Amino acid sequence: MTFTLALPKKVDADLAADVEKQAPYASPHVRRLRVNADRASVEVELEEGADAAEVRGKVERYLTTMVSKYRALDRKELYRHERRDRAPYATGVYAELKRRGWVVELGRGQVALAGPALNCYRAVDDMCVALGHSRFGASDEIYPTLIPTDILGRCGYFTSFPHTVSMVTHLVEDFDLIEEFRQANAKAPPLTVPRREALVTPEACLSPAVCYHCYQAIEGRTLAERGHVVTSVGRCFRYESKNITGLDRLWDFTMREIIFVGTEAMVTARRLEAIEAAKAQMELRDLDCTIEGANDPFFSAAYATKTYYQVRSDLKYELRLAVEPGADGEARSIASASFNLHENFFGKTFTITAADGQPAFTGCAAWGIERWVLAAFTQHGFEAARWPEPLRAQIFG
Amino acid sequence: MSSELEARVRQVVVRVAKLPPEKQEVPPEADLFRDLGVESTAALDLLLSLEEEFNVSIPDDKFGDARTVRSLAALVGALIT
Repeated sequence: MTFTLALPKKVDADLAADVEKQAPYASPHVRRLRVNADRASVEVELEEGADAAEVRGKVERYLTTMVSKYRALDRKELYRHERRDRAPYATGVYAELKRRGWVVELGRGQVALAGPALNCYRAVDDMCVALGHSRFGASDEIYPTLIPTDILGRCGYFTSFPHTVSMVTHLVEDFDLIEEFRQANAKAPPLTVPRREALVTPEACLSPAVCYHCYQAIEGRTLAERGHVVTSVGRCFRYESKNITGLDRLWDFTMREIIFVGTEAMVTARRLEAIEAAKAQMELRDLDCTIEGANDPFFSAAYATKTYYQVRSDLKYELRLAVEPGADGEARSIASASFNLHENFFGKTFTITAADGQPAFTGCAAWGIERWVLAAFTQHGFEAARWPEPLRAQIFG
Repeated sequence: MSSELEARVRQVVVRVAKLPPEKQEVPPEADLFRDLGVESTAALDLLLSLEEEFNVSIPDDKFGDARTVRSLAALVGALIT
């Protein structure tokens, strides 16, 4: 079943893409929402058996909140690289990676990597680590996969991105409730939770990003002139609902970050340097890409206001790698790295003082590594000879 | 630029940013976001409220550069004359 809804106002391409992407969070009964070509209405496709009136109400509220206050801004394109290799993109790349056993699906949005796909993953991470060490003098740190809920709360995560958070709960310490759970799950899956009250309110979440840990780790500190530069890699978790697909949009993925904390001048300069370094990485690895202004996937009322500030203030740039076109033949790219400034938000939140006596500025460069694997095999294919050095030797030996 | 215009801009800032009484003086050269702690989420509301209050259309790039009451008043003043 489908129905059409008029949008509160006409939308631009950026908002149209985000409206489509966040639509699964309006209702579990929304199978798909597409912005029509007129950009003034949407087509909503429902799951079987859905209560159309109820879903329509939720989708209308969702659209009103996302669209009404939105103010379009031009996104800057800082860089564009076109491959020297003019061979066509590989198609069905994810299926081929699975067929070869280089990617194994272990759950929704959860994969194992092996063989050349794992080599590619390591090569990308090595590239970022080398950049962090040689260019920025970053020190290595390793953080937990869990992050306390109060830390995420202080970082504003629950107001900005509540739809993607993955919370960790456990059974309450109560013999009867645990025993009831044990007996209910004595047979084969699926998991049965006899009583919701047997689950505690989560005190931890799965980390959605690496850098929050870094800021928490230096809470209350005053930094030296050189600031604080760290590189770290971690598993990150963002619940992507019906958008979970292939290596493009995993629930459980790997993020490598280089994190800058210091004065405004230092952090601003380091982010620019990271963008310049990323350009050099692209030249060497010969991947079709752009670096352009972007916004985070803020939810609901936070979307218009935070997107406006972020884009207007040039706080976020994304490196987008081209991948194979969608089913409709439209060119597609995926955000595979981002270069972010947070101004002094985390400096204030965690009382970190820069050498100039002001709340520290922070910024980071972050790479989503599995997406690089997908884009690299899409653009360079499965024949080793087509891959540029140094990737070829790293991946195929 | 008239101090009256600055005062009207200041009133809009105080209302939109919901500034507590001790911050409502708003020095004209203070950076609203960095010095006064105005939430970034208030920027769009501030822009829309200034446009409504002064019946002007404010270019986004110029609004982005105007981060103080004084510079906002100058921006609005240039648009209404």
